[in-house]
Amino acid sequence: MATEALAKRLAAGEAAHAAAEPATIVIFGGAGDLAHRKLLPALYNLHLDGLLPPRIAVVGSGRNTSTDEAYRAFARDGIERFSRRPMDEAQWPSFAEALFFVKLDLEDPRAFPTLGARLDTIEHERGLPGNRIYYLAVPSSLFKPTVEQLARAGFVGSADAGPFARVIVEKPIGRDLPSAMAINEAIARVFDERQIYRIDHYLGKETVQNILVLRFANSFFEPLFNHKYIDHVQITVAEEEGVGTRAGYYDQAGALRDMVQNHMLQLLALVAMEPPHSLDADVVRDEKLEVVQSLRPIEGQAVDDQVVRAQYAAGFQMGTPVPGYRDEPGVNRSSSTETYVALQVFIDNWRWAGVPFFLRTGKRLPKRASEISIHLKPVPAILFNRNPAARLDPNVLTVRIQPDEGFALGISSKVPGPHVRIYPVNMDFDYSSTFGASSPEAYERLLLDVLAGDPTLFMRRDAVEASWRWIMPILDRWAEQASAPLPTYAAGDWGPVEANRLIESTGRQWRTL
Amino acid sequence: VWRRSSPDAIERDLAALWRETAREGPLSRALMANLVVIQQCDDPAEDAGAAALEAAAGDVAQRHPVRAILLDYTPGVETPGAPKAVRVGLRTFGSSAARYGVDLIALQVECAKASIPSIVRRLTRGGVPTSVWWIGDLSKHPPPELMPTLGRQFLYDSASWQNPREGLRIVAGVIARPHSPDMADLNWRRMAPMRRAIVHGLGTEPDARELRATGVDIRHGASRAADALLLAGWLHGSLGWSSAEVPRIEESRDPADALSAVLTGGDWAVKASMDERRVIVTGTTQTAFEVIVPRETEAEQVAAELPSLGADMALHAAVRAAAILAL
Repeated sequence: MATEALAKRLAAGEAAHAAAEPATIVIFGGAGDLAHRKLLPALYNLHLDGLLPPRIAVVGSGRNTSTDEAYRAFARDGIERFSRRPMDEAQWPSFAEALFFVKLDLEDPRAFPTLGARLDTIEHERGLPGNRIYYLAVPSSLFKPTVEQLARAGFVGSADAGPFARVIVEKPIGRDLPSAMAINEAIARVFDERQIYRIDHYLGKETVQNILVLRFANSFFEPLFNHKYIDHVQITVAEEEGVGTRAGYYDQAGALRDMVQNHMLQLLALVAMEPPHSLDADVVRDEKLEVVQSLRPIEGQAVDDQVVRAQYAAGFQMGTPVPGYRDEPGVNRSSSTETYVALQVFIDNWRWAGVPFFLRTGKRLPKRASEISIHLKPVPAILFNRNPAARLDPNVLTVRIQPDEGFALGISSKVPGPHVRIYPVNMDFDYSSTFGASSPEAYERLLLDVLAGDPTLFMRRDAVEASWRWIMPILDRWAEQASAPLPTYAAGDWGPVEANRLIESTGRQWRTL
Repeated sequence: VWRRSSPDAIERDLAALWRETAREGPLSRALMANLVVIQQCDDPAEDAGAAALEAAAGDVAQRHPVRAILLDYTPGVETPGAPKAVRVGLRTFGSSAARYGVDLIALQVECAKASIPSIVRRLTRGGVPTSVWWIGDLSKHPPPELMPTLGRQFLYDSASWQNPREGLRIVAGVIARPHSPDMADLNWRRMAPMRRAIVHGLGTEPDARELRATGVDIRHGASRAADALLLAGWLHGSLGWSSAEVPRIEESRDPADALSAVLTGGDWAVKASMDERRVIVTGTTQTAFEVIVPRETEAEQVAAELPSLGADMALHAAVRAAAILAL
């Protein structure tokens, strides 16, 4: 005990990640796509950076029979294909030896004692103290049985004493408010809220984290962030890919559930939140929750007026024909699932009164790009803005989330020459060229935060449920209109004409990404 | 610096090119706009060639830093596909202590017209204006329906039109659309000294108070029919003539004649004659004077037009009127 206290005291002066204690990370769904593409490469990069605790074990589990060696090969393949940094042969062995695999049927109660025995052995051999992180990289239908099994097997200790037990929950958390509440309730019966880390990988992106820095570490932005100076805000999350291999999930979800309910409302909350009085996790999350709770409900007829949904039809991408959504493998030929949604949203608080927030997201858009653009009000049409045929571009602050993470401030400048001609120019900040090295992947930061016990970038239960509560009237309205024809847009376009009308009816235009 | 690439690796290869070039010394990325240069060539004999296209775009970028996307486009393909050849380039300018560079992307495309926008949308950068420069004869190869609206500005050169009437009809159609782009005609730019000369000539002719279409006689060389129509359209649109009032336009038999206009109003007359170097103006009462025609390369003309965002209302009016006159 005295030794532990000494270590904690010494760690207090180090960077936060130094507080990350030795732990075992158990990935349920460890042989799945998420683990292959994201989790294992993220852990590997943390290993290369020396950010993982000096003692750690990563135990993948899945239904299919595998061995530790086979799992290490699986991890290596994922790293070679998806890691932001190439394989370092000198560092690989020390990472690989921390990887293990346990065959496990999550719905078989007899399997968990076997898992427990294996974990005990691994922890004993590697000198691990029994701290465990359970990563639920499985369909949400398995969240409840998994946590119940964990409880039954005695894997979850107190949040206040002893080795820690934390659980990471991947989206989607439910497909509506009742199912989200049921999942949250099931997890809450086993884990204390302080032990639950609901992951939204968008919040782990450098630029997203930089929104708070931009707003609250610079004196000239924050005074402008209100209805006096901001004309409107646009948040775009564009995906170039179609539904791909996710048809089974996506056809039941759609763009509103898949993107808006979580990522986009979180981005909106970061842009619109009041300054927190500290950076403590719950203080920041309280302020974000305030924003979601201040969203003006979109109900009944307002859904028809303020929300556009559409589905991609056949079109072109980079010159190549691509099929429409209903012709994608695994998609119902008569599916009415939206692959695109655009919304006009208002935040009914003092700061943002009357300022529209336009959100749009879709699949099979021309490119993969996510950004937040904050459009300032135009200057009066008195001096340089008098000519109606050549209106000045208003100032725009753009936060690029992906790709090319960074931000740009669009200003007007005189073109050199004898005439007064004004041209929009950008003051541009680009992460990669400014700071050199590539930014860590979102999952790296988030996994590190779980290891260090910092929940700031994770969704709290009340926030998840508040988001669903706001989304529900839109889903309900759509359910009433199930037989109504769904607008379409050609793959490779920026969305349906209805979405253009949505914003153009307010005298504004979608920004071109 | 140019490098072969593939449709899926364009941004990655460009990033690598920047990294490698930056090792030689400080280097900034300059980006004022996207410039999409489209050259349609269904006749290989007319193809100016990829090298010429790349050189022209590089010259433009030196004057107005753009991300240049060069599409060498062969239409009429039944089964569209991805670009068959892709190259990415980086051109740098400035002294070694203050170097800046621009992206160049060159694609050879054989595809349906409808698929071109998907290529352009993927490759343009957001947050800066996009200009589309349609190289070649727009009257012979009309751009795809959506093409002009892919950018904020659409550049073309009416001097290349073999069929000026068709060219005017097409451009007038684009202007008439909602959210039409800002049109920039390089030939209209070259004709600016002629318009200025006429304005000055009329301004210094004391009795020139009224001008009707019947008092206008325009003569043009064999290859300057578009100039003549635009000039007539400019006068027509600016002076508010009715559609029944049509100035005389004649093709000159003299090969040395480029473009001239005689404007008369009873007891006064002003004549303006334009060639490659100057406009000479004579009048009933005034001393002859000349207006210099600036010597600009095509790249200089394009670079000068790129910062001119906003509708050129005089051009719009001239095109609308000329399109009617051409009927």
